[in-house]
Amino acid sequence: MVENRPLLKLFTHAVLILGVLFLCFPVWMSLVASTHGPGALSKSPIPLWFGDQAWENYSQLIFGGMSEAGGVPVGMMMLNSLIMALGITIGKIAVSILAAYAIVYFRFPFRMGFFWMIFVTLMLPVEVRILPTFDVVTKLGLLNSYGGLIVPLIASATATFLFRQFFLTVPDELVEAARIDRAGPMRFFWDILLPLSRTNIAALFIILFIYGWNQYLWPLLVTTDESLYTVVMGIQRMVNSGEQLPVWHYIMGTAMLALIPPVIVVVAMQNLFVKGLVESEK
Amino acid sequence: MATLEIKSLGKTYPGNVVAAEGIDIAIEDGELVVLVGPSGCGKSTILRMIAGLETITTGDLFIAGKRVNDHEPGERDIAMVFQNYALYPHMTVRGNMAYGLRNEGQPKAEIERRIAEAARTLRLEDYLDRKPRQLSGGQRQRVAMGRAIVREPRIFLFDEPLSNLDAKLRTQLRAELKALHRRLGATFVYVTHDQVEAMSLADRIVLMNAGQVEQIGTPLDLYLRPASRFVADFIGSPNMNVFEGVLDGEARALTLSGGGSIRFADPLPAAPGARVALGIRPEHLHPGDEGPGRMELTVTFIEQLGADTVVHGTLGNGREPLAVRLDGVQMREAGASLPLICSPEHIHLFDADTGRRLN
Amino acid sequence: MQKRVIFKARGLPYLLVLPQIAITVIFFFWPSWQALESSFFIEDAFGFSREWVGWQNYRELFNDPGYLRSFRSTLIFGLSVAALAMSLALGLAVAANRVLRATQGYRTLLIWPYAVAPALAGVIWYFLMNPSLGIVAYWLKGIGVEWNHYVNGDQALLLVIVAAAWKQISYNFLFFLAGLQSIPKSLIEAAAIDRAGPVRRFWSITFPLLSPTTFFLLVVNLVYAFFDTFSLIHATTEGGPSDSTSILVFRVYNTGFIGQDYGGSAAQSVILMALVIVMTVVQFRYVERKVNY
Repeated sequence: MVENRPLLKLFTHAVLILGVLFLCFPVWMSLVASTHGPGALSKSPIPLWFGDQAWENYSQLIFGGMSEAGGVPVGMMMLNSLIMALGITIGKIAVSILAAYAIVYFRFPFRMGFFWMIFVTLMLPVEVRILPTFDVVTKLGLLNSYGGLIVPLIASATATFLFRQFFLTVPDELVEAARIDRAGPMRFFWDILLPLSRTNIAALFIILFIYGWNQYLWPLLVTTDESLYTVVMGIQRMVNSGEQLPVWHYIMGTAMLALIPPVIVVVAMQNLFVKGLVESEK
Repeated sequence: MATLEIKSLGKTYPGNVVAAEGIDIAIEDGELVVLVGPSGCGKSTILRMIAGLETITTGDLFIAGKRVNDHEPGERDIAMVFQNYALYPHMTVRGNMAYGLRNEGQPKAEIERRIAEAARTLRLEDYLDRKPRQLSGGQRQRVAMGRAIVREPRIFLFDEPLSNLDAKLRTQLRAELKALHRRLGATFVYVTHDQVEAMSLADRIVLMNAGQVEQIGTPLDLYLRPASRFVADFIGSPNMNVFEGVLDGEARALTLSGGGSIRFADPLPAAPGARVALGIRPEHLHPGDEGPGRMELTVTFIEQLGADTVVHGTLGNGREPLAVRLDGVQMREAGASLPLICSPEHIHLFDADTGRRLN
Repeated sequence: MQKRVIFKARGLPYLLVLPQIAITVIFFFWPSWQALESSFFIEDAFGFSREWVGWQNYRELFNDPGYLRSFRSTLIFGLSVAALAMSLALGLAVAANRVLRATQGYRTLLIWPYAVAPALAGVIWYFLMNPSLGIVAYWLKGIGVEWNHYVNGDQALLLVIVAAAWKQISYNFLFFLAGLQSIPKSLIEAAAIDRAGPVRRFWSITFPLLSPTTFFLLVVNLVYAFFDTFSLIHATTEGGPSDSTSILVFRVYNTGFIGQDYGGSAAQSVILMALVIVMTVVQFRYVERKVNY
């Protein structure tokens, strides 16, 4: 910054390191706990360093599952999570980009009406209207299906707005040039607008993937069939497993498995993610 | 190659904003016509109506004798070069040129042939596989031209294609464009706000103002016989000197509104006692004591341009500004007095109210 | 709002918006309407019959001390989460913005909790604070604090506040950092030339210029705490002990799915919807106007 003060610099780094420690510590403890057997986790204080049960714990979880939680292998839950997350992500992007395209590049009756209809959905998270939404899904016979997990979460005002915002910055002359080059609306969309939106799509993909992966209440309600459990909601069955004491080494192992994929996505595609997040809220 | 005919064309935007009205222009096959005028005069609107990018509110548009009002831009057999080039940023130079041809369904070999030819003409061979962002402004401009050329259209449309370039490059590309026109022999319609560009490029100029055509003619027509005060003012640099005043009973002397008067040997072609605007180009005034149209300039400052010198000053009691262009390097002190004369054939006379030409 | 040039096509635009509109109508407008409608009915447990009761469901809600307590705990919860997550994030962002070359590195280490599901954040902290073997509970005992969120309602509330704030710091950090980076350097330098020290510069220049970001984050954090933390609570305290962590959005679920009181749950939904709409409108109003400049 402006001046050079060694003490201030030291203090700055100290603040940051403390912050990093505060954020990392809980996950560190979970990671450590997931490598111990039940014995080490039965009395306080619990160990702060890794144990030797990592392989046993994780292989049991991924392939065998936990009898306390219905014995569904966590590997399968993760697969369900992946399907749900990808379904929601791809669905949202596809549906929103088309809607945004129509709203920006065409003029038609009720255009603004549609725009506002999409706009108001920005306001109501599914948790708020959970019971009637559940009702609707039941009536449509979508319980215990991937469709029921995915489709109701696809409508997204945020993604539509992001695309709309981006389309408005695309120079008008490109459409004009395309029209002179004999490109019709769909060809323009496919050949020009879609390739130009690549960065936005990628950034949105990260954000929506995390959103989809982390869904909790919705899968909890629409799936009673254990083979459709997702990992984030599955962990709840383990924590609140009734009479028994929670088996923490398994629970923490599952927690690790549940948080690793989205964390990797965020860290690996950090720049794209930050750009997408900050811009989508502007 | 084709003729282009515009008949009482008009454009009204929502909210009754009239962008152009009653435009009649007939463009010959192979002609280079420049639409010029200040910003907002409607020149771009007309070009965009020709391209089909803007709907036509009134009137008719004929390309090669066929009415094309309702044709899609892609069906009009035109190509357009945009001010910001509008190159597809994610496609290579080759891809940009090929796109329209692919959409037309041209065979691959034909596309390749045309691109190769255009690239040779425009010296773009080394850049065919680059993306637009890797090119300089001048190169992008050439790619935009190339994209138009490969279409082999009957009419080329240019929307201020040189205005994003620096002055030197602009002059160079202007010459190239003129050469290209000669070689292709196609019909060019070119829009610019720069009168120098218009003068140097055009076979004929269409000068527009406030949504209407002020004058159509060759560059020299417009320079020598401007049809209105607006045209006179727009064409030529430095601007024409224009004085408003009242003619005397013999129409031989003009009493200036700013004070003072100018006398001529013969009567001016206007009603005696009329209010008129009298125009003289700076290059048509010469130092001299004896002769018609004599006036006395008080020098305020001079511009040394090297090849010539522009002397700025005032007439009469100091309220009428006047500029004179003198050949070569000339020295004049501020406050000095400079007697000038002007021969009658260089006098432009306009009606003071309507601005139309009188002589 | 729209392009100067548009395509002419009659059916196509409708076809393009159709999927989004269909999903919105089926999964958004229809349920919202149903919530509104059934908030005026009492339904029997099996859904066979229902009776129009007017405002009764609402009246009952506001006469229910439990519901009013939920309002209070929601407010405490939301404000605490926002205050905690935002102040820590601001401190970290200011620090990260100062270290220049290391900013990127620290950013990587600070943003990943964004990806952690609230439910997981809850479960992990639940484990850390577990009265019998949680490491934090153990340390607290060392300094003389008896921790047991199974019986102590205040401690349970504190637990979910910390867990919810922990997860939200990353998000706030990113926005504060972006806000800080968009402040022109010349302003800070001008202030330095005007002999303002780092602390004064922060409070007199940086913080006021950050106010749009701060306000935006305040609303986002409140929305997050009010609604997105449902899973955090559901996976851990389940609203207890004795309703102490039963925030409004959790109560909607509990009344409807556990208590089978359809009308009461619907009335709560409607109230919550009204709350979100007000917050969104407020946010748009102010964000559009840009607080402070």
